[in-house]
Formats: sequence, C-alpha cells, structure tokens
Amino acid sequence: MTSRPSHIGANVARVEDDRLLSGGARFVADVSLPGMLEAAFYRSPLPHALIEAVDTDEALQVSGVAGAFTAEDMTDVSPFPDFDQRARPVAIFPLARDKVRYVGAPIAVVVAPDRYEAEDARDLLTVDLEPLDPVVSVDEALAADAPLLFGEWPDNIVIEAPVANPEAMAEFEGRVTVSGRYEVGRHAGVPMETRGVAAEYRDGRLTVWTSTQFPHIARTMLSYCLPLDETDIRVIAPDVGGGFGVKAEFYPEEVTIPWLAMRLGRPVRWIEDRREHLIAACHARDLVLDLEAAVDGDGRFRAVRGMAIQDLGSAEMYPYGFSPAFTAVGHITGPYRIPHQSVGVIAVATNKTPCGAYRGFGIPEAAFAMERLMDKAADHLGIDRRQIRRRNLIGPDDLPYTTSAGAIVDSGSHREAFEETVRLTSERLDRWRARLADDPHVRLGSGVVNYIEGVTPTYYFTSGHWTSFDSCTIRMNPDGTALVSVGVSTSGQGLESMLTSLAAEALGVRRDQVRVVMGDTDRTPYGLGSWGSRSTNVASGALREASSLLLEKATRIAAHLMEASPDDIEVYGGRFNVRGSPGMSVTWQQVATTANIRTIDLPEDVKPGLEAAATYDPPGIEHNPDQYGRLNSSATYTNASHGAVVSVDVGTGKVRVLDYIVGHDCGTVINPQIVRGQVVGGIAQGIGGALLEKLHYDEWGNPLSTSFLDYHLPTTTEIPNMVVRHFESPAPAMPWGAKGAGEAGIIGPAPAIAAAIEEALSDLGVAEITRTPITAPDVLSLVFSGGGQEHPG
Amino acid sequence: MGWRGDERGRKCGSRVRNPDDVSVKPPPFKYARPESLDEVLRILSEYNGEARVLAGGQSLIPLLNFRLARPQVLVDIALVRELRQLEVERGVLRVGAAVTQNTVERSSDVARLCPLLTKALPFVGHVQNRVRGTVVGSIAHADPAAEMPAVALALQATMVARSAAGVRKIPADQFFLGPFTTALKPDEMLVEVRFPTSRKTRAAVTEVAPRSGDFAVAGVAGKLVTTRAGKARDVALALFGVGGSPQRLHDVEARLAGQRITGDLLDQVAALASHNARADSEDVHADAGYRAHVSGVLVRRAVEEMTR
Amino acid sequence: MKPVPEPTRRLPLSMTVNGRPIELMVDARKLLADVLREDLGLTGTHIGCEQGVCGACTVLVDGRPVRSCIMLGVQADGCDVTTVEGITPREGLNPMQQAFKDHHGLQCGFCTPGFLMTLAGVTPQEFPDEESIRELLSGNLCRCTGYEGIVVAVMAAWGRDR
Repeated sequence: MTSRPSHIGANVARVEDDRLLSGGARFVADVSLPGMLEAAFYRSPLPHALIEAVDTDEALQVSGVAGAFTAEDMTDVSPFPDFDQRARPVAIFPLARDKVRYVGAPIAVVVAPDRYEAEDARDLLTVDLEPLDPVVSVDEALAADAPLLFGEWPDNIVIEAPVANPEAMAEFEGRVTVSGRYEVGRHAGVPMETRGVAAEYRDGRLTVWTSTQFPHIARTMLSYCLPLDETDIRVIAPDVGGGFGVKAEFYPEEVTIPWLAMRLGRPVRWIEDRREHLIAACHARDLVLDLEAAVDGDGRFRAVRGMAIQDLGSAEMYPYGFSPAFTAVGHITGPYRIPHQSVGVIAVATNKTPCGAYRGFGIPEAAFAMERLMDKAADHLGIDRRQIRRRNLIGPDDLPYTTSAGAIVDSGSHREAFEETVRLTSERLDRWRARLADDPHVRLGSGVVNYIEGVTPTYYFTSGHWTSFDSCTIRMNPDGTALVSVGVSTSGQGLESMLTSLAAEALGVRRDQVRVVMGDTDRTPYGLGSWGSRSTNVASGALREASSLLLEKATRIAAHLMEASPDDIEVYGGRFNVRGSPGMSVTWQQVATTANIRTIDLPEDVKPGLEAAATYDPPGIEHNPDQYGRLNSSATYTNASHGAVVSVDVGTGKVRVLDYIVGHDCGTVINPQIVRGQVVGGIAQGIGGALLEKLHYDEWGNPLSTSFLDYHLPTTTEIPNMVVRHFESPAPAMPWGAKGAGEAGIIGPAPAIAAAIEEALSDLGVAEITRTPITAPDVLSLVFSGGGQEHPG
Repeated sequence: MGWRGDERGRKCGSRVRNPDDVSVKPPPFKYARPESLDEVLRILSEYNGEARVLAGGQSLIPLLNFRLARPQVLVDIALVRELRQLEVERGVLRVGAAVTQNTVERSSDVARLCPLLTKALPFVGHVQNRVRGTVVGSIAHADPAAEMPAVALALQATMVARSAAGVRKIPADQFFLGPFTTALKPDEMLVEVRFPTSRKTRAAVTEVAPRSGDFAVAGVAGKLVTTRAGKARDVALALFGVGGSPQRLHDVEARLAGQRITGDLLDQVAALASHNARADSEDVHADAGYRAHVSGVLVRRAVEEMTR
Repeated sequence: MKPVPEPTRRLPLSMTVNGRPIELMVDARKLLADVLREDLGLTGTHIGCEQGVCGACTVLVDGRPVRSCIMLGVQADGCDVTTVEGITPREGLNPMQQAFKDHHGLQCGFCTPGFLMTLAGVTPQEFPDEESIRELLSGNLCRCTGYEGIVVAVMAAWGRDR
C-alpha cells in the first residue's frame, strides 16, 4: 500500500464529546414520553424471609396511582431461563416469588405520575414477611446446620468444581512451600449513572431503553421472559453513564418495567436511586484464594494449588456471578512460568446482594493472591521481591507460552515492561524520599507487580448460552458517507471514536464521513455487547471484514467508471486512484452514487446497492475446559507491570498513593489518549478497591454501605498522577494487532499498594497484608503488630 | 434501614411498612418563607414540633429526600434580615442563623479574631455545600462527626435560642446532648451563635477522614495562647467524630496549661487524650479503639501545630 | 425572592434560568434538579446520589456552585440559575469544555456537567496550583477518568504550568 496518513496511533478528538459536554447527551433518565409514568420498587428490608402477603389497597387509594403489582400479577411472565449445566439452577423471577434472599430484592412495584407520588404510594404498602435465619458468610453457609437459601437444595453450594491435577501435586514433594489465604473484599463497579429502564408498548411493539452494556442479549432475554417475539422488541441503550460490568448483567427490573408498560398501556420509567444501586445492582469480588505454592530454593515457582472460594450473595444474577472465580483460576499464574496448577472453585449462596461482573472479572483477585504469594516467597527465601519476579517471568523466548491454566500467551513485553516499571518506580520513590524527608509522621515504600489479562474471552463460560462473535454492517450512502453499525455498544469508553477511526482507516475515507451506530437492536446487527475488553477486537474484526467486502465491490465499480483494471485501484484520501496514473481517480461519492442511484453506469455483473455485512468470531478461543479446568479462554492476552509509591502515616494508618507507574502493553495502540484514559481510570478504581471501597454487612445480613457517605469512591485527592508507558506487542491473530484495554488498569493496584505498604513498614516487622480494602485502621493494626507504636504520635 | 433480631433470625412482628430511608424524594410538606423572625417563631410555635427551620438545607434536605424527616412545615429563613448578621461586637463574634459557611470562611475579620472557625470551615463538606450551608445550621444539626459543633465547644460559644416565648442563652457545654440531639426545644430555633474572639489565640484542626470533605472518623479542634515565656495558656481542645457528641478534653488542657511544650509533654498528653476520649462511635469506617488511639495522635499534632 | 408568609404546598416560582425568565407553579417539595430536568427539560443536569455527595447535579445559583439535588426549587425563587446548557455557546464549546475535549477529561460524560459547573462558579485565581484545583474538584465524583484528564484540562484552561 501507499504511505498514506493512518488513523491508527493518532490522538484524535472523540466524536461523542460535544454532546456530553454541552448537556445534549441522552441518558435513560432523559427519555421522556407523553403520558409516561414512573415506578418505585418496594424492596425487601429483610435478608431472608418468606413473603406471606402484600397489601396494596391503601397505596392504590392515592390519587394518580396507576397500579401496584407483585409477582402474583405477573402470570404471563416466565422466569429467566437457566442455561448452565455445571451449577445448581437458580430461578430468577422479576419480582420475588414466595421468598426473598437479600435486602434489596424487589417484592412489589408502584406506578404513579412521578417518582414523588410513586414513593408516597409505596409508603402505604404493607408487606407481611416471615423472617428466616440469615446466612451471612461462606463459613455460615457451609455449616452443617446452615439455613438453606434454596429449600430444594441439600446445602448452599451453588457450584463446586474441585481440581486434583496429579502433575501439580507431584511438584510439592520435597519442595519449599509457601501458602496464604488472600481475600478481595466485596465492592462493585458503581458507575456514576445508576441503572434505569424506560419502556413503551404501542402497535404491538415494545421499545425498551435501558442502561445496558448488551442490548441484543437484553432483547433475547426479554423475548424469553415476555410473551413477545424478538422482532416485536426493540432495545435501545442510549448514552450509558459508565458500565464497568455492572450493566453487563440482565436484571429483573429490565423485565418488570416493560411488562408494566404493556400492562398499563402507558410508557413507564424507572430510574434506580443510589441506595437501590448499592443493594440491588450486582456486587462483585468477595473472593478468597486459598493458595499454596511449591517453590525451588532459588525462588522459581513450580506449581500452585488451592481453592477459589466465593461468597456469591443470593446467586440470583444472570449471567452467573460465579464466573469471575473461574476467571481468577484461569489467570492465577499470571505472566509467570509456573508449569502446573491445581486450583478448584467453590461458590456458595448467602443472604447478601448477588454478585456479578465488575471490571477485571476475577483477574484482580488472581493478581492480588499471586503477587502477595510471590512477595511472601521472596521474603521467606530471602530473595529480593523484584528479583524473584525476574526469575519467574516469561521472556520473549518463551512465546507463545501456554500457562498452566491453558491460556496461550502469544505475544507480550513481560520482562521489558517490568524492568521499565521497576526503574521508574525506584526513581519516583527516591524523589519522594527527598521531598518528604522532614515529615516525621510518614514512612515511604513501593511495590511492583505483574499480570496478564485475557481479553476478548468466551462468553459461553459465563453465560452458558452465548459464545464469542460479533458483527458489523456498513452502508455507503449515495453521497459517499458511511453508516457503520455494530453489535457492540458503548458505556463511555470512546468506542464510537475508535470505530470511526477504524472505519475511516479501512475504507480510506475521512473520519467525518463516518457515522457509527450502536446500542439499538433495530439499527444494528446481532452482537454480544461490550464487556471483557472485547469491543475493539471483535468490532474491528467484523468491521474489517465488512469493509473488505464493500471495497471489493466499490473497486470494481470504480475501475469500471475509469475503464481501468480493478487490480490497479488503490483507495486513499476518500478516492479510488489508478496506480501509476496520477490524477486519474473517482471519489467514494461517485462510486456510491453509481451504486445507489445511477445504476445504469454499473458494470453488467454488479448488482445495485453498496452495503456489506460481516461477522467475526475471534480465532483460538476455547469454550469448554478440560478435566483440570484448563482452557484458552481468550483471543489474546495483554500484559502490564504496575508500580506504586505510597506514604504511610504511622500515627493514623492513613495511606497516600504518591505516584503510580504503569508499563502497559495492549498490542497496537489505536488511540493513545483513549487507551491511557482506560488504564488510568481503571487504576483509579483499583486504588478505590485497594484502600476505600467495601460493601459492608452486619452479622444479621443488613447492608451497611447504602449511600455515598458509607461507600467511598476515590476523589481527586486520593488519586495521584500516573506515569504510563505503552509497550506495543501486536497480537498476531487480531485485526490491526490490537488487544482490548478496557479492564487492565484495575488489576494491579491492590497487590502493588499492599506490597508498598509492607515495604514502608518493613523495619517494624509487620504482619502480611492479605485482605482488601486496606483501611487506615487495618494499617494501624499492622503497625501495632510490629510493635512499632509504643505511644501515640 | 436495618433490622436487628432480638435473637438471631427471629424477630417478633413481621408485618412491615416501608422501612425508613428507602426514598429519594421528599414527602409532601408545606413551605413558608416569612420576612421576619417573629413570623418564623410564630409558625414554629403554631406547628409545635412539626415545623422545621430550613436554612442552607445541606443536612435537612438529604434527610427529607430519604424521608427520615417528615415535617409538616418547612420554614425557610432566607428572607429574614435579622438572621444575616456577621459582626464583632464587644469582643464577641455574632453569627446569625442565615449566614453561610462560605461567607464566614471568606471573612478576614473572622480569620483575625476567630481563627479556629476559619481553619475548620474548609473541612466542612465541599465548596458546593458551604455556598449554601450555614455555620449555625451545622451546630443545630449536631452531627457527632461535624467540625462546627466541636469548634463551638472548644471556643465556649454561646447559643442564642429563640421561641415565641422568648430568648434563652445556652453555653456550648450544655447544648450538645447526643448524636443529632441538642438542648433546643421543639418550638425553639437557634438564631445566633456567639463566639468569643481573641487576637492572640492560635488555632488548629486536625482530623482523619477517609477522603477530603468526608465527615471525620476522628478530629480535634483546638486553640491556645502561647505566653511570652513560651508557656501555654487558655488551652481548649474538643474532639469530634469520636463519640456521640463533641467532647472537651479538660484533663489534657489542664496538663498543658502553664507548661512549656516539650516532646515528653506531648507524649503524655497524647496518651492521656487517647485514654480519656469517650470513644463510642463505631461504624464501617473505624471501631472505637481506632478512634480513641487516633484522638491522642491528633491532639498531639494539633498542639504541635499551635506551638510551632 | 418573594415572601411566602403562610405555609403552602404548591406555590409560584419565578427565577431566571440561563438568562431566560421562568415562571411556574411547583410543589414545595420538588427538588431544584427535578424542576430543571422535568419542568424545564434541561436534562444536562444529572442526578447521581440525591444526597449532595456526588456533585453530578451541580448548577450555579447566583453565580455560585450548588448541589441542585439538595436544594428545593422554591429556594431558587428570585435567583439566577445557570445549567450546563447555559454555559455552552450556540456554536462549539466554551474554553473549559474545549479543554476537557482536548485533554480527554471525560469518558461516559455523566459527571461532566457537574465538574463544568463547579469550575464555572469559582474564581480561577483562587486555585493557583494542581493541589488547590484537586481540592476544589474533590466534591465531584468521576468513575471513569481517574481524574487525570480533568485536572490536566483545568490546568490547561486556566494556564497553569504542569
């Protein structure tokens, strides 16, 4: 090809910014239709109870109230189908039937002209609940006499998948072993926009606006639950104010609100409030990795074994909440040459909000456990913590490398990124040592960790139903502009911009000639949505395929118009140029006008129209594990090294992250600014999870983190500036060599910060950090564990 | 929110209305915006306990949104001119009930004569809260983790309460009775807080909060004067966030009074402060033990700052 | 602001919104954010927590930033209210909006109007450096950006060295 300017690797302005900056965006809460009603849910105040009766009479007396409904009214609604053969079936019904299993479970819904009046009426509902003993922890759930969440089961185990790999077990004979139990606390994605659903039923068609990451899956699920054909349902994901996995679940309210619109014959809207969000949108993590490693005397890890133990909450979540535990196991060895593993999974139901997806999806948990274990092994063997990593990291000669979990790491800069991150971290630490030398209250430390992230994964493992493909159609309008529609959808990552650039690149047109459409099942081809750092890979694959089909036809038309051979045509600058004949060219507009309007000018064997559709199923993905749980779950694997520099106030236990360094490799970088934004934003969430965020429960199963006063998101003052170094190891099998970057940032902070805190306090001989979040009181306890504090101050 | 069984899992009475705090829009109420204090007091008296004063609303409106407060009437004092005074009169700083935190924070008179107030205000919420929130409202709200009540206590401010029946002056140490509970009667409102002023006083606020702008897990508001001989006098220290009300540390103050501040003395007062702190606040952010310990650390740092 | 001598449930509200005089009847309990969004269709003001913590609903009242989810509509009687729609030029973006765009100061954009309004309601000279800017913005939550792009954008728009 010629050396024309490329859109790849350029920082180009985002096409979505103008509407978002001016107040012109349209989120679900902005959807307003004539006669629209608003809904308010009555949610269970008890963690575990039988529903005896719901009295709606008084509520219905409130003027304007359009209705109050319970599960008994939803006779024409089916529960979510169950697809998974591995786990015990959990029937999810849009409003709770008979029993509630967490505080926040929807029991009834009231509909009124606005939210104020809906809440007035809700205040008048009377609900008879018969309390049952709650189960609030894994230990309680597994106790012999534990109350059962699901009466038809013999225990509270949702899924148990033990692994006993003899090759791994053999490595433990005669070797040093280190072990630990590493717990990543319950927290969640908590986007700034809560969930929300609006629905309208007219002319026998249902239109649903929902703040979702997967509109097509939502439509299919709706067709399973409601008595409607898929063609009579249109799901629109308008501007979505952050997803982070929380909106890659299909929720009961996404059925209830459309059902209400059908039942009442009026549009209905429900906007989740923040309290609802913190108790009824999915929670995440709450995973313990109980691990043991067999290690050679020089620090080389030979095998790891153990269990991933997950507190699933009530398990009433689809796609399944236990998938992150399996993903954690699939990533447990990280970028290290650890030949064997034998790690199983057990996930149990408790009377807490059901767990689901959150950015990172098990990989942050895996990285926390493995990196902590690596630090522990280093300390135990008297090896420097950086050095032990060098001895275990896979290098260029190892690639492609198949991990003990079955992941095929085809490319990467594992050692290079690590060394650069180590160098920069030390430099920064030294700088802070000089700057804070006079501060008597703080001690400084640093930690450097590594991980790999499988991106563009199988969905079969998570959903039991869908697999991994996505699609794209491109329609060239007569004026030479392109309408590109895709099955993925954005929740703020900048996908519109990314795909605009890729379409411009593939079609040889200007960016302003491209319009990307997503998030509307009527206007886009079937796709699985945006999660798992997949969108760039799958959408670009489908887009490239559709582009090449389109170009083939357009080239023939252009050649015909210029009476040249199609083999001599090159496309760039919005034109079809004849190689070797400068000045001889036709524009996309001429070609598209010919194809769509002046079809009399078409070659004889070319049919009218200029539109192409393609699907893309990333190669190499396996959907089912072998007997030891191994599979190549993802299309490709990114790598990164993270370095944290922290100060620890030994008087108060307060930790400040002073500097954060990342060596990041997601293959070819399409838009550096957007990739940096993804990485930095992910790190900020990771810092939140490491130091601040936890969804607390009391011993009775009451949620204690039900507002932003108790659930602390990091603010500008907790997040440092970051140093991001991009490494580019293109993925051999992926379009443009790109690897997804959506989730990577969140994986490193917890282990990096834990290591940094330990280093800061190392001369006090403190205990090991094994849990997140690491709060100020936790750190102070550590200080005391080392006897570092005889008197306050 | 919240259900706690008397014995685990068994609770008497299972017929539940909508539990509190699940709403986000205020319940219906009537609203008045009179021009005179007398009118305000008349309405308070008429609705005896069922009317609430609305000043900045930064604490009250969240409570209304959650329907944790369901007053029949809100009386907005925004138009009451006599509640807008911010002035120094005979050595006393008088802050009226309608004066915003932002106004006080920006006052150079306050910075000069009542520096503890100026130092404490940046810790109160965020700028958007202080633009509307009032100093007096924060004191009347008596959140145990808030800075303003502790400042009032440390400065031995005088609370001026009014009702249709007349005026009461309540010393700060008799005003705060517990979490969100004060000596105000249902038909009374806090119309003014009077802070003693001093040109010589040094002041400090030290606190631990999970993030900036958060309510403190523990904090200290302090003032003292250092004599020419380098000794401390007029020491006052008040803890907040540690227990149900702000608390003066009289023993610590006594230990410091008349002393030259040395490292040894600071060690002693820190230990004493930790020991004497009535730490009974426990929540998801910290237990009582942490709060007690950190109280000592923060007292030490506050005194260091004031004598540096 | 007109006096309301007797307690009333529903009352007239007159204010100026984005330079336009507005007169309407509202329930006393209706929050300013809902008046702007529902009655006036100004949906650029977003609601994220309804307790005055997240800052997404920040608007200007008489030029100063306030949280419109914990202010009653009737409290704005007689006031001059500005929303994100009101700071946006007819064509293009204002300098701060442009800086956010240039420096990737937004991703999903839900929190963005709140940040812009906080910034529009303060005197830049009072925030001379990064630390003071970060402190100023600590009352606005963003879950996407990690704040870096926002802080860089403000520094650039206000001509601060970085």
